[in-house]
Amino acid sequence: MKRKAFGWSSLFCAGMVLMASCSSQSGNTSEDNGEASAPGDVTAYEPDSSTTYEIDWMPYITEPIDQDGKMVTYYEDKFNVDFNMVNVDHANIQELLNLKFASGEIPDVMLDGVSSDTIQQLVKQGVLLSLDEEVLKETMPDLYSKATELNPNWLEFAKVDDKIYGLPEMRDVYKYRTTIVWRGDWLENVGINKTPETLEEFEEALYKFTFEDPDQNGEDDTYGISLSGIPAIFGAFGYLPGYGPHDWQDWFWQERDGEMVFGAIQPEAKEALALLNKWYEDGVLDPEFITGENTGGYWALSHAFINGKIGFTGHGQYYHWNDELKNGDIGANYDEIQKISQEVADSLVHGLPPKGPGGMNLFAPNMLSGKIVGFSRYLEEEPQKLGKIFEILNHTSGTTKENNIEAVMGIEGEMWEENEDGIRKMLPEWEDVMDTGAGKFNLELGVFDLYEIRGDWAVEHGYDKGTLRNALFKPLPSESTYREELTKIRDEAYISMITGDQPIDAFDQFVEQWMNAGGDILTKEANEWYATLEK
Amino acid sequence: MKETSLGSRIFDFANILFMIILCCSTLYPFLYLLSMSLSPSTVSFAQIRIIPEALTLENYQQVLGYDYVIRGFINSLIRTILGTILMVAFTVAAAFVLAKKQFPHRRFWTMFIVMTMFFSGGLIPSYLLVKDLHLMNTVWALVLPGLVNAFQLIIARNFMMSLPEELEEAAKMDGANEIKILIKVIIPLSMPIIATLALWNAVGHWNQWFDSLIYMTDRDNDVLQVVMRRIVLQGNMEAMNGMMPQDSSNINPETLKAATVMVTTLPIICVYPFVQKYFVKGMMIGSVKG
Repeated sequence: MKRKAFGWSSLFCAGMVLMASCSSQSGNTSEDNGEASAPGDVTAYEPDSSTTYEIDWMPYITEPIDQDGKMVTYYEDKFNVDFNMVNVDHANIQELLNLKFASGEIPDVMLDGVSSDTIQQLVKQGVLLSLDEEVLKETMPDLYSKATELNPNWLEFAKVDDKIYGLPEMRDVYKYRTTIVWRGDWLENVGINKTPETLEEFEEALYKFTFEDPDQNGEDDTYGISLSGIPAIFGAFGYLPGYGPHDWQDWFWQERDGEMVFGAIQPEAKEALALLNKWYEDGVLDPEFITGENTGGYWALSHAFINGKIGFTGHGQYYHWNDELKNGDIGANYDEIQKISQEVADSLVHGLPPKGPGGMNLFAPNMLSGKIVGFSRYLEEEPQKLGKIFEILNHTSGTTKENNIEAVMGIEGEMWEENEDGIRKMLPEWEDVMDTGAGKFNLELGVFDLYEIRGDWAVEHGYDKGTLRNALFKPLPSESTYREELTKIRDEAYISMITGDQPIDAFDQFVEQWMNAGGDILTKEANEWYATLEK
Repeated sequence: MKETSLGSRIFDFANILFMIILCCSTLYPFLYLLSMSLSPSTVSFAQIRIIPEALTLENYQQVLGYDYVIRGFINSLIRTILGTILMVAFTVAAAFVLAKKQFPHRRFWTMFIVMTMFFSGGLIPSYLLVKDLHLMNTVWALVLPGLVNAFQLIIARNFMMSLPEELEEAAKMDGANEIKILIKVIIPLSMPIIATLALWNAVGHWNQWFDSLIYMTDRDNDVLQVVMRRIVLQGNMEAMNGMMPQDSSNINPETLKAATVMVTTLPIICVYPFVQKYFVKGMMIGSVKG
């Protein structure tokens, strides 16, 4: 199928019949790029209306998409294209994609598999197409202007050596910081009437949770804090080390006196570690904190909290902890707690991160999600097809909210309806159908507000307060070389200092080790990049 | 005479105790899953124990009523049956030839086959081969690449070499040709090893998922293990991936996942008891004469 597409479109764009081009995908590079490759020549990207382009479309799949799925055929008819849905399992995506790349197969559109972690390597492998900003502006006018308005540095994130290699996705749910949740009934049982606000109040509550039998079962079986609560404590000292349950937070850079610094090696982190070490020794910090609170299944569940082992958590995102909202949206953790006890669920208190000497800080993601939508380098020879793809993306993700909702949820009236409260509900016969292709043809950019109710809830519970964002939103040139090792060094050092295997003074040694293992190079690169930013 | 000294009795006792604990620890996760799969979704997983508080078949109904699972089941079944039959047929045929003393260069060919056990082409060449043979998205991509397993071939060969040559001579006297000898004499006598091979391959084919993940791009061709994997991994894969969590109002379908696991595992477990006796016999006989 792929070959035929190549044959046909090369026939059109180069204007010559070259049967030989059908026999090899890479073989036709030299013949075809004569006319199309003048940079900024936007007319070359004008799709030919009489051609049915065949597009290998690789979505992010939780469930493989049917070739004849409702939305697949809908967009095929609408845009006069032929989608070949490439279903690549998300859990093994790197492995499977590398196999495909090795065999010369590159899906035209990759909505999965390209991310800030992998983009450099993929560029090195020559898989990704470099995009011209002028062309993006002209061929996807709505999408480009809306996304750029939302975040002027948007495309910066997909740049490698100053060339754009994809379209970074953005998510509006990331306006809000990570979680602070208390068990209200425990607070009450230990005689605290006010949600803890300062670091001292936090400490008091956590000690009482440990020693004053907050669940009133007569047994000493509770702890004050576990892994997911730790980032909040660091935040109170001003610098986030990225040490916590979620690895999407583990690369955290902040500004300090006009310079980019890595949170985990700041002197403030040492003070936080000393405090955590004290808590560990007093038995307030759950000795199982190293493995975290989730024991399997859905990643955002805090089993330790649900099972009443701890009464304070920072696990997951706010929307994993909300009660049932107007549109039926319910947090996964809330749902589980509710199954055990409705009263406990009702008593949950959403608080603010602790106020300490460094203020009140908790991780809030950048809008940039780390995901980048990439395009096959073979498209270089088929600018018209690329233009067609951009036309589709512009329509589904940039034009209007209606079009965006259609791409995300399907066809109004047929697949979902808006009820009298203004809430969009899937119709019963489509409720469980996952393979329609809905949500697979749009970019997530956050330009249209699709989560109004959830967002209101977050603001109401203070999730827009105390947010601290990663100042680094671009992959560094040598990141893939050093980052993994540096993360390991950090985790080992932190755990051994908290558990007392090493004295707190080992911190200085850790900083030195971190710097020598590539940290100094990355810090330099981060600052070089930072200097180029418009401030 | 039974040894009954105190030392040996203590040893026996410790041995039995150890085995019981081992059995329990292997059975526990299975029973836990069974109990979970039988629990209604309103029960929190935190409360699920070996003996479920409430029973329901709802999870199974839901899993079995899901056409993606059914498709996967059928695909797995086709693959297992086809793969097993072909594999046994080819292995037996090849083993028969290799077991013949008069087969020219027998040592060389045997060594040649043994060598493939140590060196393999690797994943990328295999993928390229299957792709260029246009086997992608067909059942042949799952069956053909591993059609003859060198190790199994050697075992089958050894088994056949252990059969008395006189049987063959007698058959020849009665006017049988080689094909007839294979079908009428060797195969009936080789039932233990054939059953062993069949079981190995059936289990192997049933449990194999990675090749399906690589070679199948159409959802209709996914085998049951891939279907199960997808269902089970749903929800926790974001955390594994290290990327930002996908925005999700995921409500924990753990009970459904457990039912899926049971559905995929039970059929193959049911095969075991029936082939067990051949299995032990076939392994033993095949292994003694080297």
